[in-house]
Amino acid sequence: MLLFFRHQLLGQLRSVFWQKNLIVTILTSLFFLYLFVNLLLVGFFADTIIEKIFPGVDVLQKANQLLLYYFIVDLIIRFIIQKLPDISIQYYSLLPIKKAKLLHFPILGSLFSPFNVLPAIIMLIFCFKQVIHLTQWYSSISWLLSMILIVLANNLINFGLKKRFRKTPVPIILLYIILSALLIFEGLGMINFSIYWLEFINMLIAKPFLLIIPIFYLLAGYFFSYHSMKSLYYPSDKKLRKSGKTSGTGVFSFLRSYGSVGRMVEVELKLILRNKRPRTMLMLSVVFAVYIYLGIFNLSAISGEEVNAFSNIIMIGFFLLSSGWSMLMYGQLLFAWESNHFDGIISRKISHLEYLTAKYWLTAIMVLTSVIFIVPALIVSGKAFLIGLVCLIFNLGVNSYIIIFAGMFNTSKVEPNKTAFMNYQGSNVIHFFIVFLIMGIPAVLFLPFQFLGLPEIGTALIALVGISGFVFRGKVLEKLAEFFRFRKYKLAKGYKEF
Amino acid sequence: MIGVRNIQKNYGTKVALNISHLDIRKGDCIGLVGNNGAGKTTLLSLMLDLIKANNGHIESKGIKVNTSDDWKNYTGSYLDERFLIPHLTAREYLDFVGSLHGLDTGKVDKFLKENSGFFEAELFVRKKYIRDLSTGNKNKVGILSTLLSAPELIILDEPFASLDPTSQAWLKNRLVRAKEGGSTMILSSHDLNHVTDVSNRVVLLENGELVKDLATDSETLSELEHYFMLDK
Repeated sequence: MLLFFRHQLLGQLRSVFWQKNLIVTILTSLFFLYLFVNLLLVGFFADTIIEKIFPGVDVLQKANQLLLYYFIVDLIIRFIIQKLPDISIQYYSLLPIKKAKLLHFPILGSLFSPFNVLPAIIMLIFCFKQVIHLTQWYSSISWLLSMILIVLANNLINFGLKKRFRKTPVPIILLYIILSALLIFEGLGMINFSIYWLEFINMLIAKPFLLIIPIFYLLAGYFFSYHSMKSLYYPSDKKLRKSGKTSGTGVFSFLRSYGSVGRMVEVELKLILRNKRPRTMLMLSVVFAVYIYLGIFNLSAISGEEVNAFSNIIMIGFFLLSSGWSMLMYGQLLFAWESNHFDGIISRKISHLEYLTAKYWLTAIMVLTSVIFIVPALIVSGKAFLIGLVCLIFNLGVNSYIIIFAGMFNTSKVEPNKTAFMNYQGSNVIHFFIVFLIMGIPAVLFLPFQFLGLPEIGTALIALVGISGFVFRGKVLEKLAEFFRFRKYKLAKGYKEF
Repeated sequence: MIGVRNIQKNYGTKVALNISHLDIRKGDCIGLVGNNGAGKTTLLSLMLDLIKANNGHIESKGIKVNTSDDWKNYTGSYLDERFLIPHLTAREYLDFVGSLHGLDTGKVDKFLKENSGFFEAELFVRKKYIRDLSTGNKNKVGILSTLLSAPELIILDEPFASLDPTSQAWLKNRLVRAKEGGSTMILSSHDLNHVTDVSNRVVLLENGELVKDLATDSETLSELEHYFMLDK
């Protein structure tokens, strides 16, 4: 058993994550550190926060009541982002180790996850600050124990759910429904579940022998995850992908009338549709674009009709991002998405120019569809709409080339069929700088005229540069294709390594 | 057809391939043999401009392959899985490759009917993505996509590997027919029997060097077997 944990630890230490670019590692670690500190602070000030929001109630009672929702949300978040220990028991299945023992290992391994450790720490802090004041000494211990038991049980339930519903979001939807049902019932004052929950916790505190209930919950969770593991023991069981279903077969067929380039665009659109990571990424980028967009509305609400220098430049930034976001996100790995079949692409009957032209139109499609984010700007003002349109043109006529050019520098292999969450495969430092470049050029074009008091001319200049970029795309793409001829060996080589 | 000129490819300090001169004439069918690491795949990759040579170049019809896309028009090739697009079904992939050569779905249908001895009928009907196919079936899809455009020049890396016996026999016949039809071919293989059956010239590599260049006759097989010490 110890050997298993040793292997798992080695797997972690030797993971590609650490061998990645140092800066990416540092940035992501900083991000996680930030999250961690935030969570600790939340734990530390939980009581103050509750006092602020619900003045005049007993903090502990309210906290206990809210815990019901916390645990449900916890399950949802776990299902989305928690990674299960991915040491494959297949490596061991041929060794003389009992099958049952093999199954226990990944389950136990999953308990040492930050998703369990963090809540446990927060609970501990909260316990020392609030729960400790309970009259009976055994009450606080019983509270802490039962909370940690429930957290661990949640971990196991999630484990089982993830194994059972590998690719479908059924449990999330179900949990959402349960959560919203509970909230609606409570909001309408019909049935107040959290009160029952509170009574349950109060009973736990008063009568420690009732700890048997969370223990039972934990055991049930263990049994559930063990059972799910067992049903998936044989590798062949895992391949139960619903065959006989292909997506996007007919939708893009109109592209076929545009020759080889159209064909290439069709193939790549299918890549997006049929692979988990680009699909999720693009869906998220729509959400993000809407989010950026709300910023524009906010801005206009603050500055009113009076559009000043500051809001002009910010607005251009917002629009550049919201109409270019999907291109930017997908474009980071523009060529890497095809790392699995790159050799085929560059040796089939497609010239480099045709290939890059297809890439150009793909980014163009992404930019052009984002016009849906520009049109609502009419609500703010006609001027905002115009600025949005200009930014879109600039993305189309200049930034798309930058994306294609930068994409040629990403030589790490990407498996598009892996999950998009917490996936840094192919992340590259260059792309932290690309964003500056994309936002920087229009700013450089615009700012001098803004200070001269001629923002209209600045905007027109951005539009002009964008339009000429679009008109002369043949020339630009030829130059890029020349560069690609030298660059492709590096790409092909990088995609073969791991 | 193909001219190899002073080509050298190094990986680090190790010389992977070093061939000063090799001419492949139109209608030649070359069997490329050699143990692992001899440089077979490296040579084929260089012909397809997938890797960059440290020295020298390869010409196809007198034009350097790394300066032009022209050779792609008449060259059909399949080296490994990296030639297949994993998120397409087998049929979609063939349609795609066909369309690049101006073949419509009707022509692809006809091609599949003519070559139906090579695969189970299910392979192109089933809506299964290539990434979910077995290695043998992937290999079949790759070989078919190569033959689809009836190319003047066929380049295949280990085409017989992971094929079932029936398909191996079928492929052997198919390649002989293509040869009779005037195609130039370069095949690498570890199976000496297959190689001597199909090719009219055998090129033997060892540690990146060209060791033997033989015209295939009744003696070739035993000579090769002797070289690889199979007769001891």
